[in-house]
Amino acid sequence: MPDYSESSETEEMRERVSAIVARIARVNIDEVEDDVLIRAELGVDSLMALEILASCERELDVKIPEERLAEVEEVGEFLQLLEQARKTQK
Amino acid sequence: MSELREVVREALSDWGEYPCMIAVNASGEATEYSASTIKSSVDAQAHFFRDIGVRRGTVVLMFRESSVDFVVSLLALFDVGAIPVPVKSEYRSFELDSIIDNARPDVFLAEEDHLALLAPHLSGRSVIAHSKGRLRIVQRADVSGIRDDIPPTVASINYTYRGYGYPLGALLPAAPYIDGARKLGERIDARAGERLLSCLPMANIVTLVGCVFLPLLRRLTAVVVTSIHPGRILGALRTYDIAHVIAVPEVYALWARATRDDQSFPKLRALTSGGSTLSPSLQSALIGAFGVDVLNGYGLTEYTPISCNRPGNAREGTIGPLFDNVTCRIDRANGNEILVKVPGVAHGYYRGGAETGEAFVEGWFRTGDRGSFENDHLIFESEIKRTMKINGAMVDLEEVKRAIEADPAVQSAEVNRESGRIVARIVPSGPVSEERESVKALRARMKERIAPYKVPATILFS
Repeated sequence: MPDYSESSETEEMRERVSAIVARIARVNIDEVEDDVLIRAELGVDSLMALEILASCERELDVKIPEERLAEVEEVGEFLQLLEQARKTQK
Repeated sequence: MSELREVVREALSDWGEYPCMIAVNASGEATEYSASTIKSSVDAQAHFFRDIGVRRGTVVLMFRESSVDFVVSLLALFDVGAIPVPVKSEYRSFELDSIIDNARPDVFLAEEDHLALLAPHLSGRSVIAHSKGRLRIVQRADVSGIRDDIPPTVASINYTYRGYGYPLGALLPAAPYIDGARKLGERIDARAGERLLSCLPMANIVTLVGCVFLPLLRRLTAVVVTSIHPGRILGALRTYDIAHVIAVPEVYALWARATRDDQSFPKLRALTSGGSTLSPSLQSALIGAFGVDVLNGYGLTEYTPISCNRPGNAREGTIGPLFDNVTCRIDRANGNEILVKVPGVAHGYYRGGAETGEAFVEGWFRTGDRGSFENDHLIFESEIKRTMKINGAMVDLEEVKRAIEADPAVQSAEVNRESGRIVARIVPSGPVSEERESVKALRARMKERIAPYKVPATILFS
């Protein structure tokens, strides 16, 4: 029987993170797609980015070094970063 | 400058049995520094600087990250009688070229990994690199002392913007560091032995006066953190028994949104806010979240502080009563511009005769801000100059325009503030096949050229 638990976990994480990004960036959740540029297209500045990070850490119970934020341009890259942290910190 | 030296030495020599500074790193580990350790470190660095020729009047560019080491270097330069030029570590080639061209520093004191940004300017200068608490002489050159065009009472040159499109070097005497810090400390009732959180960039005058000299002269322990991550800060407020914080409204708002009802901050006494507008709604939210006085104040690079609310009598929507050394009037003929007169205001702008003449008129300093009075409380209304605050940091819209127009892909640009954001409308210099990719590439180039926080939130093709 295929194990769908990991992909459903990932999907749930994606939905929660998208909701956080949409709330803090004050955009519609539909605009938060993988290839969207967080700063350039969603207008997220440094403080918003920090708030997004802090909120995701709290809700997903993970820790991300702040300096990794600078490496992230797109929503998809941020999701990957969170996913990696979640797996290594499990 | 000798007054600064004496005041610092006296403060460090007469400390209680508690830390002078505490550094908290990104991992949350804390290192305590006694006053005698700080004093020894200042003496050692002053000796190091003298050895390479730094002396009274030497202009030294400080391109350093905020840290206890920054404070030690600053105090050591003051001890020698040199003239530090603190520069934000976020600055890139556009700002650095302007500042270096204007200040013509003899010495660069920079983080090791910032040296690449200074590469075009290294020739003919002494260069000192800082890394992990150590200084290294990268190269030596002849170092000059007192300059004919800098008054002998100048303690530092601090760069600011007034909408001209380039930074201006305010020639600051010791007064803001001594009188300004003492008066602010009295106003917010900062007491010896208490702890004050320092989380803003130390190149800012607000941080230098409020988070370096205020704790030093009033003998508070300065707790220096490198992150404003709300989780880390809220923990630090409790762990380190913080009584006072000085920060900008946007940072306070970030923290307030992260507080929970079950959190308390038993030692916290006041949040002092400056740098940009504190709305009444945010003020109420902060009082609700933290349960302490929120003291909104106002200061200028040319002199800080100008006004600040008092504990127990903070009035929403105002920037508080003036300090007793400040005279202020509202120029109704010029859009209600706030004019101030204060002993110890900057001498002017270095090598900026025209700009100095426009700003300093008949003993008054034209702030470039609009305001009014409500009884004895000053109210900030808006900026007249073509600048705006992004998270408390001043952005000169003309400088952003120049930086964009310096790009080969751009023929011309209009930069304005719209709904609290910087918006650029550009005319490209050639055909654009993929607008999204072009904007992405332009934004990446801009971040190499100018401080990232100045890059427009929105870039549109006309």
